[in-house]
Amino acid sequence: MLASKHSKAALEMAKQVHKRFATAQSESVLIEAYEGRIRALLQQGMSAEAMSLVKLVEARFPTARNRMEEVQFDIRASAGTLEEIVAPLLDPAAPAALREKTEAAIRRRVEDPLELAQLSSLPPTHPLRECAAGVAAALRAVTTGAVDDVVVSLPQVSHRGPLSPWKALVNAIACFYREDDRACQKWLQAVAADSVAARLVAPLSLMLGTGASSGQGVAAVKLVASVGASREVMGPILASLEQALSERKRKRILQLTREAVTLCRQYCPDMTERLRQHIAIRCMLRGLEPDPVWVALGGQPRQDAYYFRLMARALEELKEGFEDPIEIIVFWEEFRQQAIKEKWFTANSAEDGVLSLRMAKIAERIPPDILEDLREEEEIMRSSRSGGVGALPSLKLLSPGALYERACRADPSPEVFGDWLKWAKTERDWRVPDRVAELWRTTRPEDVGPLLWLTESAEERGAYKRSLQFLEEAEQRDRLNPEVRNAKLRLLLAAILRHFRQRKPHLAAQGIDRIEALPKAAERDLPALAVALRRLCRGLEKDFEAARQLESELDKQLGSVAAHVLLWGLAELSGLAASEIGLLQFEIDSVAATSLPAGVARACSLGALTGVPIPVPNAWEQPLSASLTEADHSLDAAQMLVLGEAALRGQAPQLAFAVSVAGMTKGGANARFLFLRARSLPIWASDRRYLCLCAALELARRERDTDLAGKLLDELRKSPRRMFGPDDFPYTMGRDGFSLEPELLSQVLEGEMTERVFPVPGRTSPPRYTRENVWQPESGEGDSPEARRHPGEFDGDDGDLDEGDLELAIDEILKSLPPELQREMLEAMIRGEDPKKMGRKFFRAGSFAKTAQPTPKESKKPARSPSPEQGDLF
Amino acid sequence: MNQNMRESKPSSDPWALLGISADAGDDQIRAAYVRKIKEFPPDRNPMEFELIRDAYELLRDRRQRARHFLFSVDPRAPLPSMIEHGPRKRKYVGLGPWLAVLKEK
Repeated sequence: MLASKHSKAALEMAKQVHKRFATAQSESVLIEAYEGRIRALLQQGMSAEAMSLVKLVEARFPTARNRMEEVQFDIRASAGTLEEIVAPLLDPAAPAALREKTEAAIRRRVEDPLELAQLSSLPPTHPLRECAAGVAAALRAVTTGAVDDVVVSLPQVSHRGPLSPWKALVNAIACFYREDDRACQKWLQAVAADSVAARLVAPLSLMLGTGASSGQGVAAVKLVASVGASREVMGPILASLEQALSERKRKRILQLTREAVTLCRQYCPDMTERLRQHIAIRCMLRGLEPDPVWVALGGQPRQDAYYFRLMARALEELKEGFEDPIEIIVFWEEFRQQAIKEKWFTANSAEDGVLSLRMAKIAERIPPDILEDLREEEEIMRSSRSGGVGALPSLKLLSPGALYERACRADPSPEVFGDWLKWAKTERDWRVPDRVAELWRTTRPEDVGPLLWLTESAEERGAYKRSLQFLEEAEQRDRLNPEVRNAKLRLLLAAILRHFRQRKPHLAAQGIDRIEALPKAAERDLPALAVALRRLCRGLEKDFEAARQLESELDKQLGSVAAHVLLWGLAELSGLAASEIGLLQFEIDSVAATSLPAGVARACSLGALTGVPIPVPNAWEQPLSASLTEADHSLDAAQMLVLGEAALRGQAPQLAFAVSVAGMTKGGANARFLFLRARSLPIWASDRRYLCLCAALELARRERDTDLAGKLLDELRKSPRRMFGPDDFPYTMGRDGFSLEPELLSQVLEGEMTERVFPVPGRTSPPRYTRENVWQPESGEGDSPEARRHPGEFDGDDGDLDEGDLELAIDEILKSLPPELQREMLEAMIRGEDPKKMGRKFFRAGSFAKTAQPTPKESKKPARSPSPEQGDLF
Repeated sequence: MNQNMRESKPSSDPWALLGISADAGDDQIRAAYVRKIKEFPPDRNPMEFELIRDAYELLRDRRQRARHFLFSVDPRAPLPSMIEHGPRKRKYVGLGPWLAVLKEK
């Protein structure tokens, strides 16, 4: 009964037995039962009751006195004062066993060595007091700052003495602060388990990352939190949560989130809010519903500037194509407002400028039809929460112009104005870029950038006088600026061509004089340009004799091919017929195939130099393509690229393709020729075109060609991977935007290197890599909104067409059109025209609408592409 | 700018590397850079020098500084990185909190 802790019942039974038998044996049993009862009372903290019972037993049973003395000692050790405990040590005659018991009691009872050191019942020179004073001083030292070994060596403390656990603890703490965790562990193992010092073993183990966080007392939690061992305490649970997130284990994510937040609140209260915000964002990116996450987090995370920035960045990180620019802008604006409120920065500061610039660039990606829809639904935007410092009202928030303006107000630098102007140039209304340029000119009168644009803009509108005024102003600012010098040449040349169009050769001749007077006129092939212009002038004046002489001179300077292309091109740009100016037909058959491309490229290069692109004669497209792909020409990469660009401008995709073949054959698959190849491909080969652009971007990034990479990104953003698919928006294959896996990249490069024939629907099969990499959403990462809606449910069947289906679909569409439209559309497709432009052209003609009536569904306005994050954010 | 900006990536915190506060101006940044490269010359501490140089490159231009401040936060950063890059040093808190554990039964 005693063993099973029924001491009260055992005592009652022993009393009954002794009453009945009254023998020495029964008395012994009764005393044993009393002792059991007394120790049970002691365990329950009832030391006074235990002591009175001891007195009673001593009085009634003198034979039990020795036994009761031991019990009395234990009661004193457990509940008595320190003086009472150490009392036996003052008696030199005390038996060794009693001294041992006393020392054990000291080990179990002393909670602060300083109390022992100050114990008045022991003489000041008593070894125990001296040892305790040393331990107390060392303990204070190691918890207050870095200490030397000598402080913690405590030679006076014997490893068998009652203070040995304290010595081990002091050394463990010293090692802990020295970050010598292994030594700390060793010292902790040396702390006697029944000692008071052992109470710090669990918290210290936790701070070393080896102990459990559960079961710690309030003081231990406070200690860990204040010492700041967050890495050790939080590390394991955050690693588990990260693992659960990567494995998409919803239940485990939520459970670990709860545990992590609870633990963080206890041990690292300072980082709790940040952790909650990060977990919320990570869960959102992993496609978890917000409500259960908030419950696990113990409520919605704090919506401060930090959170909004994290959210905006997270939305930006979504794969291109799944991102929602509107949502990103709204969150950046929320961040801006909150950051200004929280004094991260002020309105109109450099940070404000950089942020507004970023928002403007994102706003540029909002499809115009969506913006149009929003304009019609202004009431939606009225509910926008913006309204703080410098906040843009409603739709203006989504207007790149308004955002650029705000950026320029905060940071009126040429770079920001330049970006604004670049965007403004894409607007249909010429007054938009002109207004930007005027503002730039007013804000920074020393810059030539706005004047160059104003020159060009006025020139395009035919306001040559005004254009020249702007140019003169630019020359006053920076005469040596190459762009100013180029603009002057371009402007003079444009004026001459206008005079040709107006059949005013005398005015054109004056312009030629001015060109010849330019310092630039002697550069490269520019003297030949003046000769060519004079030749046209003479032709217009019907002085064919002089014209012939100039033509011979031009032949000598440029060679016959380049001379003819230049003359023909200038005449074409001026609207002059060959017969009107006495320009003879050029016998292309008489030219060696190897010298044809070089001649055309030379003329085109001269056009590029002047800023007035020289077109390639239409009839030359076929022979040029043939000589590029078959003959061993001597063109260098730059010449080929100029020729390729001229071909694209002249809507000669087959020639551009041939140039790309020649370029790749000579110089391998480099980014620029791949870019040319991509743009030369017909619109129906959108998948191939898209992959070529991605591959070119990858190469441009490797070559650190930022200029080309920028052009490629612009092209990719307007190039749907599947032109006729249901989701005709750009799609990326990687996190970084349009990046290709190395394997696919090499497939594209190898495939394009071997392709030498311009694709024709139904006649040429697409390259192998396009057949093997059929478009499908990636399911691996699943960070897309698609994955959020259907985590892990991608099956790759999106109802889209593969290349073969597409050709059939195009055939069907073509068959449904009247013959003349069939021909026109096919030609446009081969030329690689933009399908939107094609559509507009056909609709304007009215014929498409009459022949192919759209279904009621089709006749609706294009639906706004679903905002992937709407209603899914938290 | 305030301290919040530095909470995202303390390990790559250029301000911390140069030993300056987040609101340090151009002159202070330059002075801190000069001080640090004297402390870690490239011939003796090439790695440290590289880090200091990178940090300075990030902070020397005001616009670049603002860009780093605004956009360097990585929402996909693994959660353990929040503490891995946190302050490693264990704080000395005095005897009180330690004694409190010893006296707690």
